[in-house]
Amino acid sequence: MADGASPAAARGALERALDRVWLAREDPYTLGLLRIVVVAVLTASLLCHVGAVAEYFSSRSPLHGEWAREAFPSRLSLFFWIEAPWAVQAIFVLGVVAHVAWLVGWYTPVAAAASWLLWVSMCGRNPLLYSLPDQLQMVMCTLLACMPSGRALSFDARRRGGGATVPVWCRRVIMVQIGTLYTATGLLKSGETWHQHGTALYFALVNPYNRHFEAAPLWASLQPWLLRPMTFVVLWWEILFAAFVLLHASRELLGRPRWLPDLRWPMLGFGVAMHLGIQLALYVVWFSPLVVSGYLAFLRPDETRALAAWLRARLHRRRSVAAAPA
Amino acid sequence: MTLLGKLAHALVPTAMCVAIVAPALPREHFGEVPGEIARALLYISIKQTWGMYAPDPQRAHLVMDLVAHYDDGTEATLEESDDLQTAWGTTWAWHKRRVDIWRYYANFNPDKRNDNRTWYLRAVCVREARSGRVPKKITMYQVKRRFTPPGAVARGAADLGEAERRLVTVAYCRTEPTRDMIAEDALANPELQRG
Repeated sequence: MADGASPAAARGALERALDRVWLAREDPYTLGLLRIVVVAVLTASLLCHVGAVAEYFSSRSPLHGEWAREAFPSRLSLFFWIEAPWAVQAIFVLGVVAHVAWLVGWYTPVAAAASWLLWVSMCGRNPLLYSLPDQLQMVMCTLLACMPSGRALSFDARRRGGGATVPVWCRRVIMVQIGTLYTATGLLKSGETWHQHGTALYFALVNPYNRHFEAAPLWASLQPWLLRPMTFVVLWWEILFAAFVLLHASRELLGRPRWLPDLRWPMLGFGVAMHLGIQLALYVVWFSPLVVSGYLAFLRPDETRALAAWLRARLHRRRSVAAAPA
Repeated sequence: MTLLGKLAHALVPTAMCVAIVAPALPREHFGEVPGEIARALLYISIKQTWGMYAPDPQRAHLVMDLVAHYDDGTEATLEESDDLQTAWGTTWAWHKRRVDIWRYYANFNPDKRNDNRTWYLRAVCVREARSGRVPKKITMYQVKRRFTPPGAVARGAADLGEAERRLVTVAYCRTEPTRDMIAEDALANPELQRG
């Protein structure tokens, strides 16, 4: 009897595990909001190419034709084969239209695929025009393009009516991405400025390559009691981020028991504050807004809806106060 | 959904997680697999190596200084060398061009072979040839200023050290493949040729 029941029981357990970890369905609201925020950043970043598209990606570039393919042989790009400046510019314009369509969720899968193809083509055509913070753009663009992100807060959702759901893996994959990013960079920070001297933040802040302010004497005066301790805090916050993602995922999978603390506010709150500081002090392309957008994946759809309702209520109240007669 | 369907569906996020995590795993413990996955992802321009400010942030700022040499014995500093005057202050988004990032990569590893530098200098030959004067060669120097440690700055020292200039390489504009690149560019972009 037990022998006969085991395969069925095992199959049932596997199905339940798959459902719980990846396939359970949820309200698509968080994913829809994530789409809007991430694609807004991608669109802004894309528009920063305006005026230089032909110079970067067409035969007008001083590196073009077979030599561009030879310089970057491991990359995929439409612009290795379509090189006429007008054609490259036309593809770029179509890509901008695709980004806007993706942003508002109009024929979302097609718009996402077209937007992704444009980014792959730009980054592949000359990867040396893109820095390490830009990597996250390509990663988030690819992940989001593989997800059914148009099922809420979109024209597609309005056309189809309500009731759509998305699998929970969409949010969880973004969480894994954010956790990997932080922990990998934390573990790679093995030098003496991070572990012994505590001068890493100071040196980052005074680098003319991307500093916003020439304030070395101020930073130096803050070094012993602010920047040095913050260097160690940032390092360990990054290293421990994957553990936080694991803890958070376990908490969700176990039905949010009380004995497992919810560390999202301290961990993500610190992250938001840190990225605001980075954005204020340093030129880091679009890295900070993009990575903070990814934090939305840690919010359950009911929490995102509550947050959106709270924001709407505040805006409504402000408008009412402004419109009231004196 | 059948179990097989569920397994197939679950493969999507599982593969995504492997693609996210595997390239970041240390090679000494996981062998060739992380590198293989990273190379495959690079085809679609995805890099999952996150070495921001690692192992240490930079402790010096490097600027490219290019000198073109012509047949008649004259020399000219190129636009890259403008950074010698302007690159020591601050940087805001509206001052930055994507070409600056290429220059940054081309400045890496001055003592070692750097393909990014080789292709950058070949592209500079093409750019300069558009002016009608093809340089015979381009000499690349690198100017470096070290960052003063915070303790010394707090005691009144300047935050950037003295400029140190060194020869990095010489690129010849009339050898292969640069010669062909210049000829092909003249055919592809007649409107850009000013000579």
